[in-house]
Amino acid sequence: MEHLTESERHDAVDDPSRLSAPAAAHLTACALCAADVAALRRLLASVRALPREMQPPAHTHAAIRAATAASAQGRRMHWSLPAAAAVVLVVASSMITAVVLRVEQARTAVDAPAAAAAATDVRVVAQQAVEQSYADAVAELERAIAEQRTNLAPATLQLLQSNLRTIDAALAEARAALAADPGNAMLNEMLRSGYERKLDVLRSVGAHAGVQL
Amino acid sequence: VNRVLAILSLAALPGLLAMPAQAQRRVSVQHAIGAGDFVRIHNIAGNVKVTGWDRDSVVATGTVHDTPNERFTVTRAEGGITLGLWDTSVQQATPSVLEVRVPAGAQVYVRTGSSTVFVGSVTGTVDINTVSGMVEVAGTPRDLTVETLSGDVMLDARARVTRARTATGAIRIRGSYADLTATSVSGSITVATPAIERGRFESISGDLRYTGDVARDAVLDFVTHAGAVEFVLPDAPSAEFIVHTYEGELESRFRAPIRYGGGKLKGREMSFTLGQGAARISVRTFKGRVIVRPL
Repeated sequence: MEHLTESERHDAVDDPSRLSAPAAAHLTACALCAADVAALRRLLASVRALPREMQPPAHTHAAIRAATAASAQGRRMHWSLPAAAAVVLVVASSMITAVVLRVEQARTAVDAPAAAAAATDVRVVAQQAVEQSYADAVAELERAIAEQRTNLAPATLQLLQSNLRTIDAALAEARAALAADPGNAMLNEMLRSGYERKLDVLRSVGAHAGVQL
Repeated sequence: VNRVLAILSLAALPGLLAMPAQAQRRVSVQHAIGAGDFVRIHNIAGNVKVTGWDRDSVVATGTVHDTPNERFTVTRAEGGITLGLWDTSVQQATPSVLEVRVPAGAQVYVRTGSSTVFVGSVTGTVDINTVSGMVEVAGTPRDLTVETLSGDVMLDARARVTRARTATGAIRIRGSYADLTATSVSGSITVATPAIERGRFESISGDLRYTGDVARDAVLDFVTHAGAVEFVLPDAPSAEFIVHTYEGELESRFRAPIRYGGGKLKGREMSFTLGQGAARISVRTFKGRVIVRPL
C-alpha cells in the first residue's frame, strides 16, 4: 500500500470518516503516515492552545497606563467644553481639537512600541509551538528509520546524512537570525521551509526503508 | 591433459550459459481490471515504462531478475493489482526492464530504487517514488506526485494538482498545471512553462530558475534559503514582483523602478511591477541572490 496523499492526511485530521477504507486501514498500519497525521494533530492542537487573548508583557503596562491617563485627560477636556458664547465655543473647539489631536498622536506613539512588543511575543510563542511540533515529527521519523536502517543501502544513508546536514545548517542560520530578530515572519518562513524539507527527506527515506509497507 | 581440460571446459559450458538464464527471465502477464482501479508497480533497478491505453486490462512485459529472496510477482486485490519485484535486502540489484500498459484512468503507483520511470498517457492519479531513479512524466494525469531522493525529475504534463519533491535531483518543469509545488534540498528547479496558475517552488540551497512568460493572474511563490533565484522573462511580461531577502541581493535588468519598503517581513523588501502587473510573483530568500532579466 502506498502512503496517504496529502489531502488524505488532512482528511484524517479534519474528518476521518472521509477516508476510504483502504486509506484508513493503511493509516493504522503505517508508522510514517501515522507520524504525519499525529504531527498535523499536534500542530492544530498547538495552534488551538494558543491563548485567544494574551496578557501584555509587564513592560507594556506602564506605557499603556500613561497613554490611558493622557487620553482620559484629553476626553475630560473635551467633555468640559464650555457651552457659552458661540465665539468662545469656536475658539475653544479649535483649541481642544488641536489638543486632542496632539494627545492622540502622543498616545499612538506611546502605544506603538507596546503593541509591537505584544505582537512579537505572540509570534514568538506561535513559532516555538510550531517548531516543537516539527521537531516531534522529525524525531518520530528518525526513530522509525533507525529501527529499519538495515534495509537501507549505505549510499542512501549517506545521502540522508548529507541532506540532513545541509538542512540543519540552514535551520541553524534561520534560528540564529530569529534569536536576534524574534517574531520576524520572513525568518519563520525560512524555518518552516527548512523543517518541511527535512520531513520530506525523512519520509522519502523512511518509505524506502520499509518503515510501513 | 590439454584434451581433458578442453573436454571439461566444453562440459561446463552449458552450465555457464545457463547461469544468466536462471537469474533473468522474460515475463508477460495480462489481467483485466477496472478502468479506475489501482496499479502498483515495483522495481528495484532498471527501467519501468507505464503507458495508459483505452482498454480495461493491464499488460506487463519485460525482462526481470529475481533476487535470492524475492521473485517477480503479480498480486490481485480488491480494487486493483500489484506487480513487480521488491527486495530491501538486496544492496545491488540486477536491472529489470518492465513495460506496463494500464487503463488510462487507472491510479498508478510506481516505486523503485534506482530504476528510471516513465509514465505517459495516464489520466488517473500518478504517484511515483524512487531513491535515485530518474523520473519522466507526460500526459494528463489528474493528480501527480513524484518523489525522489537523488533522481532527476522531468515533468511535461497537464495536471490539476502536482507535487514534485527531490533532495539532490534536478526538477525540470514544462506543461500546464493548475496547482504545482516543487521542492528540493540542493537540487535545482527549472520552470519553463507559461502555464502555471498557482506554483510554489522551494529549496534549501538549490537554485530556482524560471524561464519564459508568466500566465496572466498566475500566483507564483519562490522560497529558498541559499539558492539563487533567476527569472528570464520575455520583453514585456506582466507581473508584480515582491522580493524579501534577509541577506541576499536583488538585481533587476528591467527598467521598472524598484520600490524599497518595510512591510510586515523584516529584512530587505523590494517590489517592482512589469507591464500591467497581472501575475503576482513572490520571492523569499535568506541569502540567495535574486536576478530578474529579459530573455
